[in-house]
Amino acid sequence: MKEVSGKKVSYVYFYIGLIITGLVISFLGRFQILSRYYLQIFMFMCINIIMTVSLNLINGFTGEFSIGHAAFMAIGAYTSCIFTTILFSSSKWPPYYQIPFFLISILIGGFASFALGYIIGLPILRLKGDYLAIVTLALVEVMRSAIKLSDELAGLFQRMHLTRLSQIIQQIGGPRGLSSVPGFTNIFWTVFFTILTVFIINRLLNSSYGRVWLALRDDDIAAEMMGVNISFYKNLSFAIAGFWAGVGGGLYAHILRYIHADNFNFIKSIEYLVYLYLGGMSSIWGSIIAAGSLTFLLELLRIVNMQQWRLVIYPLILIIIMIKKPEGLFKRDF
Amino acid sequence: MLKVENLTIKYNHIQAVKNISFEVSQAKIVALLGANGSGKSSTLRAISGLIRPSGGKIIFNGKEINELPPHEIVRLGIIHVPEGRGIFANLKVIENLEIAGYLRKDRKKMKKDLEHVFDIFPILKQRQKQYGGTLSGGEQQMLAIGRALMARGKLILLDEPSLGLAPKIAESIFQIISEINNEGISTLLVEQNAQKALEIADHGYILETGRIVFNDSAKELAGNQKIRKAYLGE
Repeated sequence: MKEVSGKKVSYVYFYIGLIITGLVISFLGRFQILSRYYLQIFMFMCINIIMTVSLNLINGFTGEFSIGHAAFMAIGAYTSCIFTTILFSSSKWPPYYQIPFFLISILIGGFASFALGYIIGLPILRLKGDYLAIVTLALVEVMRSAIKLSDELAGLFQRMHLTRLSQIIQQIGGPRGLSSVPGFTNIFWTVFFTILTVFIINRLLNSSYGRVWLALRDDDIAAEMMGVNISFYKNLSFAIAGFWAGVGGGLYAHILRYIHADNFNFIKSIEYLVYLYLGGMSSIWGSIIAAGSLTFLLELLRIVNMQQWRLVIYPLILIIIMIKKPEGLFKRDF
Repeated sequence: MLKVENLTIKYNHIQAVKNISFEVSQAKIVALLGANGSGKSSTLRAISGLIRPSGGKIIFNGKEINELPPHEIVRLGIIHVPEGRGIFANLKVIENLEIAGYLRKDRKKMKKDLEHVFDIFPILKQRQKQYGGTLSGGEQQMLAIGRALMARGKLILLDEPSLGLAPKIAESIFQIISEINNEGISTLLVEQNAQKALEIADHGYILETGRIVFNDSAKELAGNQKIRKAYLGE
């Protein structure tokens, strides 16, 4: 990987701003000025930023059209929870074991999503546009149904006398959901991973890999004729985005402390698409601002007890944006 | 250098190219001429691996390349400049050129090659910070050819380089093609403008509905009365 010429966008202000906000919020939380609910909103904002920025890598910078982000999130969430909750009852450990173990579990969740992204990408990234959208949509539903059917799998292993394996799968919970996940995620880790996501994706975009992705977005046949192994690069972008979505999912699970397959339905995917398109394709700042502010806005409606208006205000904003700024709020970075 | 033997291309049941054989030798310009739908572009696409021929062999420097994926064919030195140029509209001119360089192993030489491309196309140097999509048609064609040079093409497949260009610009593109040829790079040129193509080519093949109907040196073809009537519009 090599840094290349051209415009560089720096997110230093974002990093500093996010760190300061995180510090202030955790300070206020410590002295009980803000309740845990507000801390949680902030953490969800960060996770939604991770999800939207990583989705931007596929849909914005590589020019594919995926609505399968919830599937990656689900894999990350469930994989990390299998480690922290099912295989090891880490909630009973002393804290200095918990933290590195939590990080490793999150990363394993990320790598599981990376692998899924790469393998699933092999066949489906031959599709383009609407067809890819349909298949990725199906991916979300398949994943959700598969998780829900985990009891069936446990039963199968039981009949094959693989008792231990069967017990583990049993605990994934299928339609009951996976509960008593330790609440390891805190403001520090969400801020840390958000900054890491933005930093790494920005660095990748400014490398030769990034330029190839942008070339694929403009004209993939021409890129192929210039010697780009297009399926490798498309898969890579899909897998890297999947990695960060998996990390986001892992963090998410350890905030909620209870996950259910229905948390990761296609509405979730659509949510990230909305953030992405609102903020503007191919703009990381756009993804950050849109994901952060919309998450906050929706919770604000809940606070002022206008929760039933959520689904009115939400589309209204979108319609106004689509009419006034069809390219999204922010101009593309590249 | 490039040898095509009994190439057949089918789109479902329609034969676009029927059993054609031709050759491009080192440092020569070979023109592939013919009317619309005669199979010229399909032939180029088969050589660069974008479509799989249903029969025949394509041999490049002694190696059979029919089964290779496009990106590996590029690595061997066959660069296809597609019809419509295939410029990356949202990348800058310089980035368009660098893309070809990224995929090469000898990145140190890239700077030298870039200088070389800028020597041939001074306009690209002026426009290097502009986005590819903002260039004029002629400049885009130059960029596409420049990109092929950056990829260290030994054989450049040019599909309709003069398409949609003003006659004067087209003229300069043809001149550049023959300049590049003087450096030892072979060119397989597909053109509608047969007269211009034969002026710079060494050898010509004329295709008609997927078959080669004439095959001679460019001079002979340009002088042949029958061909002049049928293809050169006299």
